Amino acid sequence: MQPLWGTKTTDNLRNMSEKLDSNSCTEFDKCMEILQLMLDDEASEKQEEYVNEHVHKCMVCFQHYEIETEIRELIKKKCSNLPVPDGLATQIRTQIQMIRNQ
Amino acid sequence: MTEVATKVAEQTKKYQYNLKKQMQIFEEEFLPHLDAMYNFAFRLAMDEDDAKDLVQDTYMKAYRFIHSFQQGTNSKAWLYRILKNSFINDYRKKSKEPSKVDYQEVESYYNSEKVNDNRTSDLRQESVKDLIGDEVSIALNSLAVDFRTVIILCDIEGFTYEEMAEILDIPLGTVRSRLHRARNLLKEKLAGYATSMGYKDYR
Repeated sequence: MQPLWGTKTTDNLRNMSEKLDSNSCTEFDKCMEILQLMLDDEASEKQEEYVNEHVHKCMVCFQHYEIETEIRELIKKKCSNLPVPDGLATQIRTQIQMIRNQ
Repeated sequence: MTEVATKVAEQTKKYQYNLKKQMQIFEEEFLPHLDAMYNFAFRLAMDEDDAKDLVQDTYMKAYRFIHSFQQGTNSKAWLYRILKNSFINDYRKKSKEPSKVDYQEVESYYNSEKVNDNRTSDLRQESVKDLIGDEVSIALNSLAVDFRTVIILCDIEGFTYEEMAEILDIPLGTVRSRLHRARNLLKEKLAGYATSMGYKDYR
């Protein structure tokens, strides 16, 4: 079984003290909001600059930055690539043929 | 004309394709998305037979409405929109499982105030370390379909917010807030799994 979090992140998180929670960052909500946009490729250059700068000096937001990134990677890895049932394309083509012949 | 008005005008415009052209569009622009469409259908319906039916229905509709599709435009978004509407109109109704949330209620609630609930979803050191990857999939499937859908479209399929707004027929701002809420719900679920596993390990 693969751990959800990479070893590096897990170590980071383990070393973090309890008091490093989101309340210790006054810009947390703003940072998280822009971070989402950034990871979705929807942030402006200026917004990206802000997040990059902020996570360098804020451990709380850096921690969340890593978590957000990993969750997205996991979703991509774990939630796609189901094989299409055999013959589905053929069935669809046959049905189209029937519509055309009507 | 505004951008939206132009779009609407374009969508209602009819394109004339002869039979050969129709088949070409179908084969070259529609069918290549079969894989992604099946996966999207499965994530929505969560049942292989329903997913298959849903995909077939979608392709039938796509063929019937081919004259409203402009060749060379975003066929994937166009097909997704049809599939999503088919699911909402036909499949959700007959589903045994009732919709988990009253959607209007959820939407108006979360749109009323700026969503500032990041704090509730803190995933912490001791809670995250033993989670396994498959739980992401389980957590995603347990979300209400509207929340599940935005995460699928954004993270798995890589649609832009604008494409998502078009597929889902909702304003851009709603895409943003729904996505935000969906991500927080997902994290809450994951944190919940992590905590319950943590008790086992650390007690």
